[in-house]
Amino acid sequence: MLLCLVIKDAGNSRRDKGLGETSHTVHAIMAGRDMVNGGGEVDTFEKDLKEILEDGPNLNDMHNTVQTGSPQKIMTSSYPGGSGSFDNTGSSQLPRSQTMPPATSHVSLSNNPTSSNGDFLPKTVQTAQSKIETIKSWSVNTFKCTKQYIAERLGKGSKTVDLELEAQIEVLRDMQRKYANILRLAKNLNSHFCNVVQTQRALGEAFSEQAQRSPELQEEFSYNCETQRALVKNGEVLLGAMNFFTSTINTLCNKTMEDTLLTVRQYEAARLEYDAYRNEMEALQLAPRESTSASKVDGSKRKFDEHKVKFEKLRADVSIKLKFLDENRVKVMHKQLLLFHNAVSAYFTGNDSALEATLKQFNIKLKPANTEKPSWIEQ
Amino acid sequence: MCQSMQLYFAVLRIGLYTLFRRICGKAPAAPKPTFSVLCLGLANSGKSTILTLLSGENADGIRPTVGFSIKALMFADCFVDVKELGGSDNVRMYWNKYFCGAQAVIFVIDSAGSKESMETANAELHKALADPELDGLPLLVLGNHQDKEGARSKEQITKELELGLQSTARKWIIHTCSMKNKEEIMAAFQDFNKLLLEMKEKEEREDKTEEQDGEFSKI
Ligand SMILES: Nc1nc2c(ncn2[C@@H]2O[C@H](COP(=O)(O)OP(=O)(O)OP(=O)(O)O)[C@@H](O)[C@H]2O)c(=O)[nH]1
Ligand SMILES: [Mg+2]
Repeated sequence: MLLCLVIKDAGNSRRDKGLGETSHTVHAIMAGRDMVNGGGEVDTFEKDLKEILEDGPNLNDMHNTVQTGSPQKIMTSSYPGGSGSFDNTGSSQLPRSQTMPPATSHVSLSNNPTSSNGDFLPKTVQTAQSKIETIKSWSVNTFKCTKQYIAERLGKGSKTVDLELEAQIEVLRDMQRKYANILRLAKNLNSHFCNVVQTQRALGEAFSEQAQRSPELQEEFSYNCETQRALVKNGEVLLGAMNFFTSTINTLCNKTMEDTLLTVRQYEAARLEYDAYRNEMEALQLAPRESTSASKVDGSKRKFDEHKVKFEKLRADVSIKLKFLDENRVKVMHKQLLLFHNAVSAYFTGNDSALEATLKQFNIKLKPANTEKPSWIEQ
Repeated sequence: MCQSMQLYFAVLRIGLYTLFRRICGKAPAAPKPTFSVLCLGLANSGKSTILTLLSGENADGIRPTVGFSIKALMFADCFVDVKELGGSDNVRMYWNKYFCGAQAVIFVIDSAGSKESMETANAELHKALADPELDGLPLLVLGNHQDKEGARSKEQITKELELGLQSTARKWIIHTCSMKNKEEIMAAFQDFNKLLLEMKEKEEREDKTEEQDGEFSKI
């Protein structure tokens, strides 16, 4: 499981990076498209853009058009669609900085679509390069982590274990499972009880109807109608309390605990990376002198230090977050358990007294007076 | 004969019902969005009080928040998970550990607080907003404790917290409120939710154009 996480996390972050970079190109394209929509030359322009993507803008043209100033023209005229003038793609960055217009016109340049297109070409080149770079480093990293993971699983590689912290994390995971179970049960109870209350309401209605229809049993039906209605009334109060209870536990279990577990997962991923680089470095240091160049050892030491910093930061984060989480959990649960107990016991004691009263004297009026509101509402 | 007719009708009814569900089921399929929002502010500014009031609970007996606390708030147009971070000195130093994943920020102040407390609030607010995790996120400033004498006005708070100096990339709004008036608090959040929904819409639009252009650039 841990392995999947590491790989997935790494993959996500890479992809994010990639997206972030491509979004620049998107803006450039959009800006251009808007401009041209006005002129009605969408098709040719799009074709032009495709070529730009493959080749690059003609920088001399761009320089000229910047001075002519009209953005409408710039977009259509600077890329005439011909590929003949795209000769120096490789060194495109150098001439560009040289052909920069003087400072006075610089402000308008930065506001103008040409400049974003000027930036846009090197960006795609950069994106491609950096994409390859990130993919490369990502696969190296993934390979190392996988190796480390397998070694750990086979009981070979050495592994850094913070016994105290691991134990705390295990407690938290177990706690989350237990709370999830409580939540499930409470939800079940809630839905069953909701059905009960609905049935009671329907029954009360049916009784009241019969009380009106059959005069010979009117009184008896009325009593029963009243009891059912009183039950419904109390039941709704209890349902409200139960809803509150379940939604709070839901937040605690699926949001609050999850927030901390997210950091725990990051920590575990960092731990695996750290160990992978540590083992690699140790192996390199132990290897015979001739076979490993000093620079290689240095490089792996540097990588190791990087990951060590990250790992130690996350370890500190996890340990403080666990403490805060416990604090919050106790506070929340203290309140919730008190409310739940009050509501449940008020409901049942309320019913008990009501039932007793009706048993003793049939004539007693069933008023909410003897079914006190549960204390939690008044608090 | 009669029985088979009954069966036939039953099947027909089920069929019609499923059809009905198919047709109607698609319309209300758009679920309410959920935002995760960070709530910051100095100790005793009333963060917990405001959030407790909003979730319909009683605000008596609230004790200082040690660490953090998450509340899921339900509004007509969206859900907002608010992560409150305690404002005391020993918790403030850990604020940035909880910034990850936030989509917006709420900053609560005691409008009737001392000059020093406003200065501290100013420093803490801008320190937090400078964090890369919170870059460009929408901000709601709540000037709480308006029921007290000498409470600052919106304009004064804007000036003292130097809200005008922020980058234009960040959308921010300011509201004043007090724990005595829940309507004011609700109004502030309704305004804020509008901002959040707008932000989400804008992001979605950008995603869409990105997709289109992604396809386009592949050609
Ligand atoms: N008069 C007045 N008192 C308020 C107001 N809002 C909060 N308080 C009081 O201020 C005290 C602190 O409120 P909290 O909600 O605990 O403050 P907090 O920001 O959560 O504090 P920390 O969790 O320590 O960061 C409580 O006693 C509240 O009753 C208000 O608008 N007016
Ligand atoms: Mg608090």
